[in-house]
Amino acid sequence: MSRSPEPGTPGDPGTAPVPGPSGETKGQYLFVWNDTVRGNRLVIGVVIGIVCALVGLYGGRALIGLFISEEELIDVWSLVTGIVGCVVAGFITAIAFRPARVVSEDAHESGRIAAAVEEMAAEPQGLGTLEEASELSRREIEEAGLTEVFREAEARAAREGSER
Amino acid sequence: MEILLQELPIAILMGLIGAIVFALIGVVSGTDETATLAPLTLVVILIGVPPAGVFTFFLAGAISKHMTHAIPTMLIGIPGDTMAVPLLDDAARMRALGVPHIALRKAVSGAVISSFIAVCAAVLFAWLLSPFGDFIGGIAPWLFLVAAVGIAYSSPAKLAGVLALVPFVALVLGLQAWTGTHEVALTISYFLGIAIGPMIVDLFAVLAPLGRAELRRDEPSQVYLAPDTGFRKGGSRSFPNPFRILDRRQVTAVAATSTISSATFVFSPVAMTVLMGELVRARIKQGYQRLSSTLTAKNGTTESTYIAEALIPLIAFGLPLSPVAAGPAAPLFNAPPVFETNPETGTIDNLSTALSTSQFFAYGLLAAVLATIIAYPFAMRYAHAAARFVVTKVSHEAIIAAFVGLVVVVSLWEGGIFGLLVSLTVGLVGGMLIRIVKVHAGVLFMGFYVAVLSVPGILAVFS
Repeated sequence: MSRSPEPGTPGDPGTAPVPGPSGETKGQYLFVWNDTVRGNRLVIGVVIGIVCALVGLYGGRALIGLFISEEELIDVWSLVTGIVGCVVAGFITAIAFRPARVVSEDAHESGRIAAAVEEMAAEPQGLGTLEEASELSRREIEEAGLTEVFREAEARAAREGSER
Repeated sequence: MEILLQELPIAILMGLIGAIVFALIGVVSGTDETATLAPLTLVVILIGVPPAGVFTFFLAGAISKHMTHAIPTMLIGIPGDTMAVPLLDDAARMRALGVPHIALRKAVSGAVISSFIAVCAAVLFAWLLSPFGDFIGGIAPWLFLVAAVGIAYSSPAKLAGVLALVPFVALVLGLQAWTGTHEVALTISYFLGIAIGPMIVDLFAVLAPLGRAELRRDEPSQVYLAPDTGFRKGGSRSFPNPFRILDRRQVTAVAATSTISSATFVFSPVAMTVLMGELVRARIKQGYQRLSSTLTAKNGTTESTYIAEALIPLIAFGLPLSPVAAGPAAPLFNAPPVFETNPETGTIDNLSTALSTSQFFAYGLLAAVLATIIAYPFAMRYAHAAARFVVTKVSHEAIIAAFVGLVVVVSLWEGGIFGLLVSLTVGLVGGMLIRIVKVHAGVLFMGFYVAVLSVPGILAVFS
């Protein structure tokens, strides 16, 4: 099963490929702070963040000033309303723009079981044997259907060991 | 005892709020500890919450976050926060074996056991060290310098990290002198700038045509959410028991590593997590047992380093003498006008003077209990639903919007336009040092303290 929160709605300027100056449609995503975003949406998000922050901080200060007269308390509570403003900014942006990620839940990595076991065997400590694992670990391996995989890898490691 | 009971209700309430808020923040990948814990703790201090409430809020928050940060780390392979980065490789291997649900349960159970052990161990170590508190206070300016150099050298940048401290400290000194002429003194703006530095660098890069070209991608990022089969099976209604999820050897490994890493409170928590993981890995023969035990011990260490690095400096010295105390826990030491720490003038008026050792111990255990009650069952039962919600509903644009807002709010609030300029400058320079020179944020936090504490103290000796 593969799902994408990136639906590419027709006519949606955010997801439609943006032709570059030379007419190419490549590279509509930007890798910013460890994840992909779309340039125009990033700009809007940053603007929303700044506006909500300012409204939260200074708007909150004015609003609280109507109820409280002590300057120090107004100051402190304006920080609270400012941070609420940041949360609101995140909320608005999350509702406006769906994530630029492709999420899949298929067993894509299941083909990597053998590779993962090989990697363990290649560590300086080797793969060891299931008998060396605790009872709980053996049960976890069994429930995940991995007992055979480990047994085979053990046998292979033992063969390679004796050949050397 | 009477004071303990008087402040207990507010301590419980604030601990619960901290645990709930940070259990949720922990699920959102990339939410740095300093950028989230420091500002929210500052708010709690400034709105006038009593010291016991401040402490339980901070500690329950930190403990909860380091339980739920395992959710994105194990299920999606994106680190929940800075401390989750050392877990990534082991998490990827457990996912490859098709057992991310076991990885998550082990990691979170390790965190639970470790947090209780660390509170006890940290109080014990702090008690042993406290007779030297005055002596340490006297040599603090030099100590910060030595700690900064040591932490910089142990970062991936090695010697470059140590050398990079010089211009960074000069930058902080310059900014401080400049804002000082306008009678503006700043601290939180610096911390926030350092914590969000890499984001600020990327946002500047997006503005530059060449930088933008480098960041361009043809495809959106691929996220593999682990299948939820294993999670559905284990969804029992009763409260999870960490001693049934971990075997005896794993419990022993967690106990040993959390005790050791509580004692080494001056080192970088990320480095200690890597080190403790290797300590466990080297001792186990069978591959799967080795992998699951290493993962458990590593996540346990993310708890113990944070707890000890906050508690020991608070109890024994009253000075922010650890990477955690200098970064995410900074408001517990400096939150003017409530808390103020300045070894130069001998001013130590912070959380350390507001609570006694026995109170730190009692409220520390309370924070661990509250975090366990909230975050542990949440991470064990709703991990998959939470991870799915975050990757499919929370866009990265939204996370950046919230963090940009946070920089604007906190820095403007602290120092007006000066605060904003300082956050941007320190963020841009610090972020480039983190990206290019490969120092970590802890080095830069220490650099800040060298500028404000060591340099004036050392200059005074030679003048």
